[in-house]
Amino acid sequence: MAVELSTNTEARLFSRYLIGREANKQVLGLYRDALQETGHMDRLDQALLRFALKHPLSIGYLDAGLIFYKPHSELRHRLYLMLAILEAQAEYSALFLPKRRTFLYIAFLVWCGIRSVFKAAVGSILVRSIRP
Amino acid sequence: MKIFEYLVVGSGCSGAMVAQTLVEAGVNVTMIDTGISKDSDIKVPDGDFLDLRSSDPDQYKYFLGDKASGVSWGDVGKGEQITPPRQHIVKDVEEYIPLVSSTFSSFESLSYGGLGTGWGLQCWQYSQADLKAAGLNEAKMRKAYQVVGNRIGISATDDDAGQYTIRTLKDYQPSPSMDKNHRYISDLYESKKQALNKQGFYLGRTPLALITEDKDDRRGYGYHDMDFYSDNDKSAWRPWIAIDSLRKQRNFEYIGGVLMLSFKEQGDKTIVTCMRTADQQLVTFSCRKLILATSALGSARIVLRSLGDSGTKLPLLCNPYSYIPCIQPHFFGSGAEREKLGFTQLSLFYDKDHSNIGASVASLYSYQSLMLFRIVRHVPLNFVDARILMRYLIPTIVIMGIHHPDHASDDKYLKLVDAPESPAGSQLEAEYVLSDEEKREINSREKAFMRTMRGLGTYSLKKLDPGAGASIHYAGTLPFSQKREPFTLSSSGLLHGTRSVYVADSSGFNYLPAPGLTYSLMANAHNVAEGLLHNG
Repeated sequence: MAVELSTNTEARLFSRYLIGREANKQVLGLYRDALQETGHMDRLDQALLRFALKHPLSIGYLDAGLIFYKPHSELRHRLYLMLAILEAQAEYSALFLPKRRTFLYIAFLVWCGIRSVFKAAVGSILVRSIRP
Repeated sequence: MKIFEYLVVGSGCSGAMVAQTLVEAGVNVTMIDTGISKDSDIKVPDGDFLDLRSSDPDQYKYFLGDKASGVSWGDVGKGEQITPPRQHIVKDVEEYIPLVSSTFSSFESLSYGGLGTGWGLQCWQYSQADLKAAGLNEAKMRKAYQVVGNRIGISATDDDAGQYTIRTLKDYQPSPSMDKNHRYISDLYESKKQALNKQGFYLGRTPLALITEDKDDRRGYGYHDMDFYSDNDKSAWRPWIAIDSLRKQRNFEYIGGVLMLSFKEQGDKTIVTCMRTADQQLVTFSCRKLILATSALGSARIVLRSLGDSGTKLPLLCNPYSYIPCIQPHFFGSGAEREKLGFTQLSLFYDKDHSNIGASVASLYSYQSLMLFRIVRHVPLNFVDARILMRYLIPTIVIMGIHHPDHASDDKYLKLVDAPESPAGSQLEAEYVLSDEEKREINSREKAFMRTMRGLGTYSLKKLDPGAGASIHYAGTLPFSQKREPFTLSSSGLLHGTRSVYVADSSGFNYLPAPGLTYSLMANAHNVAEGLLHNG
């Protein structure tokens, strides 16, 4: 029961981070099932995951920082699983389907680019500061 | 013990063709096969990709699979396009037919319909020079291409690349409509083709085993863009369609759940030893003619187990393969497209010296139904920004899959070694190393492809090398030879040193041209059956 609750909390946090919305019940169940198939976590992975769950605002920075530091980390793997699960939900599908550009899209993408670089820079410092 | 007249082993593309030719001639045919069938829990509804995405609450079952088993993580590997409804294609392979290698990664199947269940449907005919180099009789092959084409139904166009694609084929259906990415490339090619032809580049529609008009109980292609998940309308030909149909014939019997291990000739019959996969018990069958259609690796494994020793090395051919994701900036942010096609629509041939031998070929694919998550993990951004960016970028993506020809060498071989942990007791060991000269040539051709695609408004992002074996085009393990040497085949497919053991897959090919071999191995299988009927 405790494990289920903590997995649900993790799923909710990841969903909120990835699409800015609460995960529905089906997503919580699918995420729990998918985690049964994930492999062994090393001590750094465990520490990163603990930190992310304790400080939800750090998830985006850790995600960005890990791309270069530890691209196949368990935290990014779990985020990726959640992303795939959300994509295969009719409720959220519109957030994943190809999008038509609007007149503001270039400004929006430039903003996303700046935000990505900033997150990666802060994230790489943050990742290095977390000890197993 | 009952003695079977013709015993065909394997239900893949070559097994289906050899069996169909024999059954149509009226002889009694028995097919033995491991025949792993698909997971009946995964039902893919009959509908359009975009409609299903927005309406089906159970879509995760076929897009992700049970416990998200269809969501790969890590580096790019072989079989990236194998979706959950097709994962049975590779089920139990590592247990029953293991292959170990540090230089070669194989892809085999024990499923009902074999690798043909996930085949990309390309139906290219080999050139006269390619056929000769492969050891195949041109006149017989051209005739067989037509017979096979009539059976499976081919859609094609006689265009600029016709000399590399359809060649002598007649009676084909029109190609499916191209999506916007391919129309764009095709239009640009038309305006530049004279210069490109001079450099040895030819672009044309890919002939596909995909019907665009109704044929028997199969429906013409419906543009649902669900090609990676289902064959609901049977517009794409699959070996199981042929086997299902043969099973309704009185002179055909299908025995599933058995894995063939070895054979032994005894007097005027051949004893075949198999393992029942349900309980791993050995069973034997007795036949007059044994026809192996178990793929170049599978047939090599069986023949080595039956006749070989631990020192025997067999040659191995495999098309070197790489894929290159490209973008077409023209379509940035152009939104989702209906009536898309998951199969390749255009083929770009590079025949440097215009000799029609040894050309390389790039198959072009657009991207949509394999979902955003499969591609987003290769983007060096956090997942939130990667998702936002990819929604604009996906309409621009074109994947170029490049195949190169392959020749035999001392550094490409297979041998059989003991494997006590496998129920079969042995496993193949492979070595596959390209020479420096081959690597240089491949590299230079791939650069030429990228340069040409740039001229066609399609810009390469990064070359992805999935490693040797990833093309899933294997051949040449028991090459054709007129010298009657052990571990070689006669031109009719008879295994030298045996009286009644035939090989009807790509094992005999002495050379492997770049265009996909499936259509040619089916034509060869038909010829092996014809030879048996007329001379056997």
